[in-house]
Amino acid sequence: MVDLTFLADVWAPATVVAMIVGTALGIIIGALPGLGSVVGLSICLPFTFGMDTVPSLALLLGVYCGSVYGGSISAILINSPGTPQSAATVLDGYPMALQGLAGKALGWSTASSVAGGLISCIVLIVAAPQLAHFATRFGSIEVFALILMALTCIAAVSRGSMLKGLSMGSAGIFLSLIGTDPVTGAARFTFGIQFFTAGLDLISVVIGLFAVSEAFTRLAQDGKNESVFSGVRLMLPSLSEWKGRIGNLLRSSAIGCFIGALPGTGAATAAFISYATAKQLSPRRDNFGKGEPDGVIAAESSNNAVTGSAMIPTLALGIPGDVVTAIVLSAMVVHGITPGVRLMSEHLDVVNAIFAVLVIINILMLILAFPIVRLFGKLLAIPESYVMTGVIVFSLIGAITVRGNALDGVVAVAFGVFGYALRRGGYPLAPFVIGLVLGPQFEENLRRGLLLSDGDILSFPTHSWIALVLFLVTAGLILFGPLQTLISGRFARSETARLSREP
Amino acid sequence: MKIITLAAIGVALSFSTSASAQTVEMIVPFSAGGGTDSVARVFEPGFSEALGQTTVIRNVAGASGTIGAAATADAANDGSTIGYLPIGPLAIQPSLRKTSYNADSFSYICQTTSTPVFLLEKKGSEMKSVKQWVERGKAKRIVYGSSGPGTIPHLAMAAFAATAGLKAVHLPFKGTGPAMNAMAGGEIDLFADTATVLEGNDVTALAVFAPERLKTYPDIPTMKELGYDLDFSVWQGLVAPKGLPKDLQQKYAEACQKAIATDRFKSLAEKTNTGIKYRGPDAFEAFVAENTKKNRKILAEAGLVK
Repeated sequence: MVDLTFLADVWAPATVVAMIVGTALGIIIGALPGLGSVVGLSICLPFTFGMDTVPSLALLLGVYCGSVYGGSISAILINSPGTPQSAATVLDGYPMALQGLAGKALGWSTASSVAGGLISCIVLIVAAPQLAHFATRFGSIEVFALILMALTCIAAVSRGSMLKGLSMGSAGIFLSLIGTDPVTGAARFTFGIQFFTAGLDLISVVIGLFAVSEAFTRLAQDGKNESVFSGVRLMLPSLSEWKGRIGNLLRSSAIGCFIGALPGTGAATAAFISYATAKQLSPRRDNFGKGEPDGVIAAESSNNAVTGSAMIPTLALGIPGDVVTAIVLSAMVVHGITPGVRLMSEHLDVVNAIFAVLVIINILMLILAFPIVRLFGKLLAIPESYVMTGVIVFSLIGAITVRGNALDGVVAVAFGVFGYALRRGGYPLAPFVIGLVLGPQFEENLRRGLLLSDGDILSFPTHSWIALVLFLVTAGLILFGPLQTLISGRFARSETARLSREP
Repeated sequence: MKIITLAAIGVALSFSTSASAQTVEMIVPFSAGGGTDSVARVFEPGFSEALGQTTVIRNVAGASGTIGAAATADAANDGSTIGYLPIGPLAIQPSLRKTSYNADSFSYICQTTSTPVFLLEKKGSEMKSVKQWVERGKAKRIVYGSSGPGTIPHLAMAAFAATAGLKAVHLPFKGTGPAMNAMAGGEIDLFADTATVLEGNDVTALAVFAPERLKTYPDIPTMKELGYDLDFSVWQGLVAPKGLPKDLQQKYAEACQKAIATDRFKSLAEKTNTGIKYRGPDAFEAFVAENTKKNRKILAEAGLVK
């Protein structure tokens, strides 16, 4: 018989209040550009010192899960991801909003977020120890192979010209090199300016590329178009609309669950990998980037699937995979619970309470999403010039907030100008962001792999079975496109030849 | 629109960096929620109370803490800005890269903590002692991890490898978490970090990088006992821009001493296995100068400084 005494902790009034407040606060913080999960958690952490263990964990987990979902609200409504995790949601969410389908897009993102979150809760509850141990088999070379595979998705999201897409992806990777060398600690590509030694902040760049350049684009159109935001209401997709999209949802959630369990990768990476996979496999792949719900589903289900599975290494091995789980761990330490390998055996009641709290939070998200979206809809239902002014003010404050450095605002404006130029030139923005997100992990794992193999990159595929499989899949993905073109080209030619022979 | 405007003004105001005469701004060079920040946030109430002035923490993160340290060094030296800095930006980073400041750019107020690091291996390893690892490391290559180049885990291991004459490869990770994952997966053999890391992970401590055995870990030998005179700890302290008036320096130092003696600070230290260590202005300044020199020598031996 399972010991259910932990449920008393979960249903205690303090915990219930903590879950509701935490989740609502998380969604709002997530929806404000620049204020992400880490900021939200840091704001709440001091309050947990005076609270009991379960309510304080409920507050922090609510903020965490809420913020990952909340980022999609601004991604869809103002073309600016509220958190880096929802950078991939912009790609199809905003085009949907432009077509007047903002409520629908928000519905897809809400439903997918909740589904992804719940699926990862199930994975966490059922398979945490197994998955955690499997994840430790991903060493530097295996993760390098995984990121390499993910980078091939640049090709998948390069709409129009492949050359333009690849050059934007490379530009993103090169910009990610600015800062500190991960192996030697030396400053590089900084032009001797101290600000650059910290590297470019992802959220400032993304805010500039999407939100600020959007405002410039509107400015150039001389305010002739109607506001697309007025009276936005969340509209959940009906069951029949899910037809043909469930596979995408499950696949993307699975990708999120797995990436989340790998320490040091994170939700932004998971969202882009799922997006690219969906773009390869979806029957509606041609519509990606133009406002395809499948794109929103892929991005949002996988980034929320990370929330549950990021707790896997944290709970099963005591290894915080990222800053977020590190903060949750530090809250446990304050309450006298030593996180780590013995957590599950020594504090099973707390672990069970965490499971229950995560499930409830994901359901709460679905309920709280309605009033919060209405609130944002009301805020945005004012003349476009005001909205755009607000977007710029908020975006820049957001960019500056992340590291407390005003120069990040300058970076956002510079990338706003750059992003505007790219849009005018028909260069896709998505590959650029993917390069920027994956670049640092690509480099770090490559460099560590080279240190381990004495500089012999050719030994990478034979390092382990996992590495071999990942490299083969990558090779397959690279060859698949050209081969397909080649074969269909031949077929078309022979078809033409056959037709021309026939009288 | 009103709401947006009001909110914007509210947020903007919270960013105004101008400190009034009554408020002391305390720069923490890492993000809110990090290790340094969480200690600083518990230190701050006791310090404010002892000083009788409001202290506001400002997180200026980035580039291993050097951006925040530079902001501290560049601030006005009238006591309105102080910095809560750990070892990295104070005594390591200025040797590792070009920074706009160095250890001489500050007036020293006090040291607050000092936490020694342990030599760690994966739990259940067939290697049982430092001696076995030294033998293995002389015969063939061993791999040690760190939470980044130029961090204390890196320096402690680099110094150990050099002193013991090991054939060792350094694998830097972004933070302790990913490094612990690599240790669980067998990618790295050894790691050096504090008791928090020892307690939270599936690792065993082989030795402690301290001159004497710790009261809390009486069974773990010191590196010195084993024949390697190595002393490495993670420490933090309070500094101000150079030229802080002597009377203020003394006043702040006294408040600092009171702050680390509060129950609140002591209980946090106990829970996080942080060692409390007070050094006054002169002793702290001499300690930082000496520590900088020592770290610079190790970095040079590791080939990271020309």
